[in-house]
Amino acid sequence: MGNPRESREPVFHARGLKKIYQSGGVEVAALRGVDLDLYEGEFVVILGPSGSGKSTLLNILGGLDSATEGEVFYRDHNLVQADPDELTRFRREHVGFVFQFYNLISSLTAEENVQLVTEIAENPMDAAEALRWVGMEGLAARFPSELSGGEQQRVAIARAVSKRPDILLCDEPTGALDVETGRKVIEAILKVNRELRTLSVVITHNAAIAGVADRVIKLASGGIVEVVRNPKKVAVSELSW
Amino acid sequence: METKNSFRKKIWWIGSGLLLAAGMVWVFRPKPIEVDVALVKEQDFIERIEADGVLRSKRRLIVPAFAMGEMGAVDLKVGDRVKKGQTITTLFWDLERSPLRSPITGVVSKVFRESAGPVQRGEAVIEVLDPHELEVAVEVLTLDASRIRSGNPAVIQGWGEDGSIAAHVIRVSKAGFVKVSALGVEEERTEVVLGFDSGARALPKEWGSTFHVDVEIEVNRLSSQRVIPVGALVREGEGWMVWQLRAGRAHAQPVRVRAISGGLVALEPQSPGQEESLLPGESVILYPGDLIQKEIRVKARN
Amino acid sequence: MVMRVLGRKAIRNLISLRAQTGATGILVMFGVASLVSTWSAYETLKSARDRFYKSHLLGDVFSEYKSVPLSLARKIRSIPGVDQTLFRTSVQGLVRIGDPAIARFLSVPSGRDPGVNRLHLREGRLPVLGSEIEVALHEGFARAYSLHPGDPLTVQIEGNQVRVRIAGIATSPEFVYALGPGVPLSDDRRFAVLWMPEEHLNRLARMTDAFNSLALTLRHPSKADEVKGQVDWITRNYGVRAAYGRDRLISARFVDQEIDQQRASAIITPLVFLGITAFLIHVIFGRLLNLQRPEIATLKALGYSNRSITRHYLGMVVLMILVGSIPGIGMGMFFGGMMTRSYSRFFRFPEFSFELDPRSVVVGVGIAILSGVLGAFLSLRAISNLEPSQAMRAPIPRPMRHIFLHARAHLLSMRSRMVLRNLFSRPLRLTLTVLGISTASSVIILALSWGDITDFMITTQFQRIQHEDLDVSFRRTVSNGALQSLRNLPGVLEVEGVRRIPVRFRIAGFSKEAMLSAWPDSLRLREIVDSDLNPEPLPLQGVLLSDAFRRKGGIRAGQEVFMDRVDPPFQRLRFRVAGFSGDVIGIGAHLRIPELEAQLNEARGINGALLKIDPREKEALYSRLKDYPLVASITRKDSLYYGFKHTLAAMIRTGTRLITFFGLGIAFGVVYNTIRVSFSERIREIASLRVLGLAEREAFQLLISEVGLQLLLALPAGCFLGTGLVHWMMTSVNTEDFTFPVVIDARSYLYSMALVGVAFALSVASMRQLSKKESILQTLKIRDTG
Repeated sequence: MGNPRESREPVFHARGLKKIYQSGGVEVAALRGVDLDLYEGEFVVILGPSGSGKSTLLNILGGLDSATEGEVFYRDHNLVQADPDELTRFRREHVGFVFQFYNLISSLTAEENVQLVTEIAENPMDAAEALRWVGMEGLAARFPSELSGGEQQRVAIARAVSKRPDILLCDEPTGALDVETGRKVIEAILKVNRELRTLSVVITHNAAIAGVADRVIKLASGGIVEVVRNPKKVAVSELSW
Repeated sequence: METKNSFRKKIWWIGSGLLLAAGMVWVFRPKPIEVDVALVKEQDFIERIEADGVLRSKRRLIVPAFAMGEMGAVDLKVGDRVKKGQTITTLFWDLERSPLRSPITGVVSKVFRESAGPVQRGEAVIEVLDPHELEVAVEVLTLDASRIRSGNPAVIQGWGEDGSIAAHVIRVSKAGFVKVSALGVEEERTEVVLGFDSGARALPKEWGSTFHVDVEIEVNRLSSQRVIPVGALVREGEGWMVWQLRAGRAHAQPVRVRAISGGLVALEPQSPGQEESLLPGESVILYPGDLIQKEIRVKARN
Repeated sequence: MVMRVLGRKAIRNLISLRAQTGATGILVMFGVASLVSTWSAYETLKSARDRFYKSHLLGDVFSEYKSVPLSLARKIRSIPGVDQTLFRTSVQGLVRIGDPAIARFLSVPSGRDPGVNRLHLREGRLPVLGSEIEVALHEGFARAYSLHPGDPLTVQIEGNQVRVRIAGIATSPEFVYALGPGVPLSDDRRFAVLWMPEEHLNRLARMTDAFNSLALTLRHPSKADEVKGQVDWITRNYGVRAAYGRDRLISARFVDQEIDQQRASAIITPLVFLGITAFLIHVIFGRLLNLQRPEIATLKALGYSNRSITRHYLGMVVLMILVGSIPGIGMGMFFGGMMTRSYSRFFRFPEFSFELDPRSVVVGVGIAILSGVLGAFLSLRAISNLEPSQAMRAPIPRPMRHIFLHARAHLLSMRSRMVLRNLFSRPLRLTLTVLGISTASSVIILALSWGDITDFMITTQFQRIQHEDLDVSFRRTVSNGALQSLRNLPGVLEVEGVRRIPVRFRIAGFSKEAMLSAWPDSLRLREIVDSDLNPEPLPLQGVLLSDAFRRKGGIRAGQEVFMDRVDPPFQRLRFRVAGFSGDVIGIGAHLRIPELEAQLNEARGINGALLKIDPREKEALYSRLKDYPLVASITRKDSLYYGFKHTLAAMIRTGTRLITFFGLGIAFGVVYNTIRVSFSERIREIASLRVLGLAEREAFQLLISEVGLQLLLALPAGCFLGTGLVHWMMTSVNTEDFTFPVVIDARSYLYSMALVGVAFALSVASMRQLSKKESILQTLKIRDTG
């Protein structure tokens, strides 16, 4: 069945994305011309081995990096022409990030880490609410040093989500975690995607995770190899790697 | 972390900055130098000559042993008073013992023989002087003596107890003599003799043993002078000046010196055309030192 | 094989850390230089002194008299324990050059080795008997007036003018520091020492078959007191209790004092520098090891032992220290040479050149390395505790504590919470940083105060206390008539007589020689002040003691004190303490002349006078007074003032500028390193915040707030530390001749805070550049290695 979402305007529209950077006098092409459309409320997994350029792609989409060539539109904002301040504002207002290494502020409690975001957002969730979302309400007053890896990652998700972003970008969110914990993290992301209708993009090299996605974009050597639509989505509990 | 209250913050910063600047100015402002001051006075200025004097009497009697023999110890000391007829000591002579008596009432000025022992006839035992004929002799530098006239008032001090006794110059010797001074150089000196104003009545009870006194002879009296302490004088070129304390600042004031004596200076009256003035009651800085400059801020310590 | 790879890594690490290696290196350089220079200068001075005294046979026991018949010489020679003896004539006179200059004439046996206090010739030869009267002249005076052997001189002895010829220029262990009577500073232009054959001097001084000065050496220095007692006994009819040892020889005393002070600096200065170095290494290494954790874990996983890894990093520390030490040694030699040269201007040793003491190098570098190792100790120990698996894992968040009650945390902004918790979760680090900055600040306060105190002392003494222009002392007590003679000299504005008696105070178990000064009631030319420098009138009865007696001896007002006269008739005087005076230069006691005379069994009189003079007549008057036979010494306030201001004060000012510079360097080193370390430790967090949408400027401000808060804490701490340092310095430096008041101007505090602020601003500015270049991606993706 045609996904009703597909008929809408894409949230992200990228054409001919190229990223070349210098490394020790040698030119390295991370992206060699990528065309991409991402739609509202999708759960997309970008799959690829290391060196495939998936992180670079995510960074460009999230306004952390700029393309050497090509164009990227977030709705009708041209990201390629934006200056650093505009990109900062873009990130602040529209994007939630989740990284492999959780990047919480160690001198703030879990709840305060979330409040960091809610204080500057226009229409945030309540910080406690966001933590409840990821099942971390009991540990709200703990410092990151007192939380396990999985718990830290869930706080990071809560932080990303609390601003009700349009987009959730996750770079190897389960990379540092074991299967059990990893499942919990994926479940949290899914919940966000379902209930808040946030476009969620997850980068991973772990093919097993791709099972829960709406679409899987396979990347290799800086270019899109394949775009696969998942007919039937796997339940999280059945994931294993 | 939005800078919501950036305006308020700016006010805060500017306010603290101003406060800090004000504080710095206050701490770094040049401090007034502390000085000692004295008041310019209007008073009689007395020029005095100070000298070391010796008490002596025109009437001095040596009391001799009247016979050869043995004498007892003499208990009297220089400065002790004796009455006429008072026993000085006992003389043993010719199988007799007789008291040796003082011929006059007076003060012992020398003791020639203290201890008991054999004595010759006519040998001096003590000297007694008559206080009624007391006078003070000083040796002043001949240069100074030229300014002293008989009748000049004087003050005798440092004799026995504290206090001063009024005296006057009786005569100034015409002849001078050369003497090696206390510091080993030759000086020409002249003797001046003074007498007590009130005679023997004013004499202190205790005479002490040295008969040295301090004498101040008045040689000149100027009435109603502007007087300042000599410590306020500062050389300026060929002349003098003082630092006047006016409205918290040091003010250079040229002056002309009329006379200096006893640590005080009498100033010449101001010339009529002079703008600056130094009036009685105003303050001058004592011993200014080289820190005092024109218009520098000063503060009186006393 | 192992070491080579690791070695290359070490060097690369150091190069990437070059800014901090440089900062540490400079500190180590200064630390080592200060130790090497002061220690070696101390040793050079000490050995020059010891060598000179030994080779030229400085006497162990000295004594002066009016005149002692030579027949007693045999008895003195045969005192057991006495080695060599020298019986000579010592007379004060004048040399008709300059003001004229006061001179000390000493007789030398002609044609014979004196056996004690040998002269060291610089030019020419020793004086011999001949048609002319020959002298050997002291080097200091000769240099001041460019005199050479063969030059004639006119001198005055006992009132007689005599023409002499210089046979040689010499120095003597007795006059290493040439000090005239009554003056606390050497003045080569106004004081000369001349050695003359005894035949001539005895004739001129009218000493026949007699001597008035004695110097002897001992076989066993421990017998000094016995020998002194014997000498006193033998000469008892000519002056009792006159024999003294080297400790009362003025020249020896000054040299010893200087050596002591040098030794004190040799301990303090390096300690400060190397303490800071230890702290900096601690901070730098902590950071380095933190950054290198994955690498260390990897090395461990690869199989390198704890020991080899620790040794590798230890090697880095040692390398860092050596980088600073080597130039430090050279710098130390340079400074040491400078110090020695400045000493040689007024200490007259035969040879006096800087000698590097190898022990100082070894100890200096050793202490530097030790401080480095100590600083890195904690970090090195952490290496052993590191698990290899940590290479794989995420960086562990810093252990954190709630600083304030959780409930109240919401009162503070997020930013404040972060900054405060970060700081207080590591109290040791916080304390050390604050300590480091305060040390810098306190060093600056010390330097500034040192200058202020010296200026204050000089101003107080010469503007406030001393009003006279000339201070004359007489050879003996004279009658008050002397004042009249002085008053009549042209140019004399004020004269006041004074009676000064050297006494030995015996108070509360310690004995001290000082001057008892009796003043006239009408005293105007000197101001007696109390310890707060308020004017204090002379008490009607009793004495005012210098405040030093109260501080060091615990004496109270109202107590009775005893003093023994040091000159004949050695009477014991007894007075009640009426109060205390704040003497700056010299210590002693003050009282009214009548009070003193009441206890003396002698004639009244004065033995000194203060004169205030018309400036136009001053030179003429000074020359004239010099000729007076009974004048022993004249101290000119203007030359004393000038001497203090331009020599002593100038030396101190250069020293303080140098120390201020060091303080600024320390401040910069500590502040810069702290910011640098904080930056790289927090770099991931800052990058995260920027990902979240924080502007780069705001993120930087967060970092600066942390260091800024430490600075704010360090400012008052530095003021306290500085105050304490000044107090401590001043109490430990009070010599016999000077009392240093503690005067800290508010400006010193402000300057030190401003300078530290400048160091902060500079560090922030340089960090800003670095921060701007940081890319978020680099930080979050790739570990920072430098």
